[in-house]
Amino acid sequence: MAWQVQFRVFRSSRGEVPAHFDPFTVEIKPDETVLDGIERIWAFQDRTLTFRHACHHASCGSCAMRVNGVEKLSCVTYIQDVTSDGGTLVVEPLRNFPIVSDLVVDVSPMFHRMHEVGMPIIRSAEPLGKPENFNCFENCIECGMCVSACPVMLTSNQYLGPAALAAAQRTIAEPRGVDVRSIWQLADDENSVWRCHTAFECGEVCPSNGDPAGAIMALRRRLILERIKSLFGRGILARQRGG
Amino acid sequence: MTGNGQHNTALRWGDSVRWFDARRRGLGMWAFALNRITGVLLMIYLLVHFVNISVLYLGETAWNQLMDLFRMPPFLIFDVALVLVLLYHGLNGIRLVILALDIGVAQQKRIFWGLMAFGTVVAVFTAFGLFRG
Amino acid sequence: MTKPVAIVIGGGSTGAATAHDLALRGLKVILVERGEIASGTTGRCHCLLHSGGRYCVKDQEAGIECIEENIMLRKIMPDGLELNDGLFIAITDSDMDYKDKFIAGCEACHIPWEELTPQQALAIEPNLNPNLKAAIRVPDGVFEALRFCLSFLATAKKNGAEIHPYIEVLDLLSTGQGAIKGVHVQDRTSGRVYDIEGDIVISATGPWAGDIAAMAGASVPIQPTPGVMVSMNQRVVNLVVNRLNKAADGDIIVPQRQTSIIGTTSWPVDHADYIPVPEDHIQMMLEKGAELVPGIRQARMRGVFAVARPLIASAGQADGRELSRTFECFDHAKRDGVEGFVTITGGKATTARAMAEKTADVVCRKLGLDAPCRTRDTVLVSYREYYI
Repeated sequence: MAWQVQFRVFRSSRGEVPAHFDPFTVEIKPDETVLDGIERIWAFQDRTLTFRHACHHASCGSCAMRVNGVEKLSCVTYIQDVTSDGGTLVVEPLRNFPIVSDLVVDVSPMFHRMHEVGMPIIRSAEPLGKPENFNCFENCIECGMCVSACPVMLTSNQYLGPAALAAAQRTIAEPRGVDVRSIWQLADDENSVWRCHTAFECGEVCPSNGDPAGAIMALRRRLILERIKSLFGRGILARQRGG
Repeated sequence: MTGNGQHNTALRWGDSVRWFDARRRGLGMWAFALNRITGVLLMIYLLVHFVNISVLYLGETAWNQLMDLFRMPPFLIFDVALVLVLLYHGLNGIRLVILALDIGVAQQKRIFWGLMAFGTVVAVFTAFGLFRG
Repeated sequence: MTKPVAIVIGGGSTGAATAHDLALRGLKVILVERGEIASGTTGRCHCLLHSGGRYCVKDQEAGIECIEENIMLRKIMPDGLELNDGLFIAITDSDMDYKDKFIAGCEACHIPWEELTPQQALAIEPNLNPNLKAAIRVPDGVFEALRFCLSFLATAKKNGAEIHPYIEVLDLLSTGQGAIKGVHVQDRTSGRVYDIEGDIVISATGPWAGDIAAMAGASVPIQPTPGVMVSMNQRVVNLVVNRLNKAADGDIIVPQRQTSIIGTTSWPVDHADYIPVPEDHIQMMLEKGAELVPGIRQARMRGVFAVARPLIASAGQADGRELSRTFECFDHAKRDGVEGFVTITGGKATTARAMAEKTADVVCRKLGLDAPCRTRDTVLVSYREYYI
């Protein structure tokens, strides 16, 4: 019934160099999740293990980590989908974030950027059903998995990144009271919309079926049109240059 | 431009190597990695090509000898490989331009395979042409 | 004059709101949490912003607390809530018999209610069980547990509070004369062990309150009572849907983002650290959920989770369903003769602000401070500012 799975967990204490992997053998059912396994390691094998988690239902985004090299939201990643009985799971923290310890990363760089873009988390203007207008949280759960998966982020820490750019596109498309002029400026930058190299990995790993790459391409089109307009002294970019 | 949002993770050389690591990743990442690999190969080819054409300085005989060498089958295989690399890099480049204009983004995988199918046909014809001489 | 220092243990909704309240009252707040923010009970809660409807018949004290706080949270957290209301629907005759009691309960607790005909209810929520006999609309809402806590904490930080996740309390520091003067902690990210001293220590550790109190030789009558929740891969409804009957297993569906969470069950455990999910509870959740919204049968399950509620036990009430959802602030000087140590537990995330107010009142009285509560009309800053 229960499988035996070896978790090879990335370990590092603040300041410890080099980091290493610790093996833990876990009895786990195939329909349990990777986070169940990690939590059980903490509860019964190693109390020093640190990891992020909160909601356990793919809404808070904190339990994002890399499982066998690929970003997964561990609370909804079933064991049977990533390994087999007697198999191994390599569990590592997200890439492209400073590591705090073990599986914990400091997500504040992404939140700085999300804050600048200022996407409201409530989709209020959008009717979700009839006959009444309902509101709903945005699909993006700010887990940082797209940032970790993006190959461009590996080598450019100036890049705004897929999460913030997708949010910029959302805010421009549906401002909900946010002043979007600064967001246009933020988007039209060499380290912003134009830096994306279209590897589409952000959308591949997105746990909410988001499409950051598609959003970036949509922003590109908007910006190209605005730039053409600005040649004739029109559009939002022209007004900005005029002060 | 991102204000104080740059709690910079130090960038390491190893990170650019990971550009090429598309294991367990999606098609887009493989296309991205291959585009970089073919780009590097084309640059190496260009350098070798400069060396080759500089053989012209050594006179007509030397040049003709080199050309005879290049017409031998092992080098023809190299030529076919070069065509494949060129086709991949060029066609994927076209895909990226199309996508950057926000055209067919949702269909990016189909566009990839369509262009690759086209590239394969071109490569087969080119190979026939090369070997028939 | 230096500010009095308050040490808050626990980074769930209670600790977060308490840190916010005390920081607003001018105290120097240091909050320690052994894991990530909201990694305990709050994180795995149902995310229901209670109208009080679930308690208005059997537990009116909790019902009144809920509706008051519900109205207050709409004001102070305006952009962090899905405010689509909730429906209590009757399907069986037994449900219909409960209807009048429910309406009387709403009246008694001052919960605004509106009765809808089955046709009206189905027009709003076409996915409801088409055989429903009656529906009552109440002002339920949905929050998001982690960001709920982060909003309080972000505001507390703005007011000078220090928030330290991954710091585990190993022991309480005693003065040797029956008082607590601080906490002995370990930074779990580095292994470093050190002491933090303060004027008062507040335990906001939910179902773990008994463990912390024991470190001071004190006790808290806490009964960790887990519940199982099942999340689906679709948002099957837009309003919170409850069974119009007394609280039972699998009688509520809370929509959130693109998911729907069915809950919940209830059984007592001894300790809250690790709660295995009983397999049979999952199937029961799905079946009971499908009675409310048949579309649950077509949806796919996305995740299952369980966590312990901190219920305050009193003698003769063994069943978790019978225990009140209200909260209590224990001043251990009175209870156990231990000065400088307060426990706040019980309650709901919905009532976190009220719990914090009551706790901060006790803290200020103990420290001889005259600082009124200001959280009722202080609008919280964006949760994102927690990271800035």
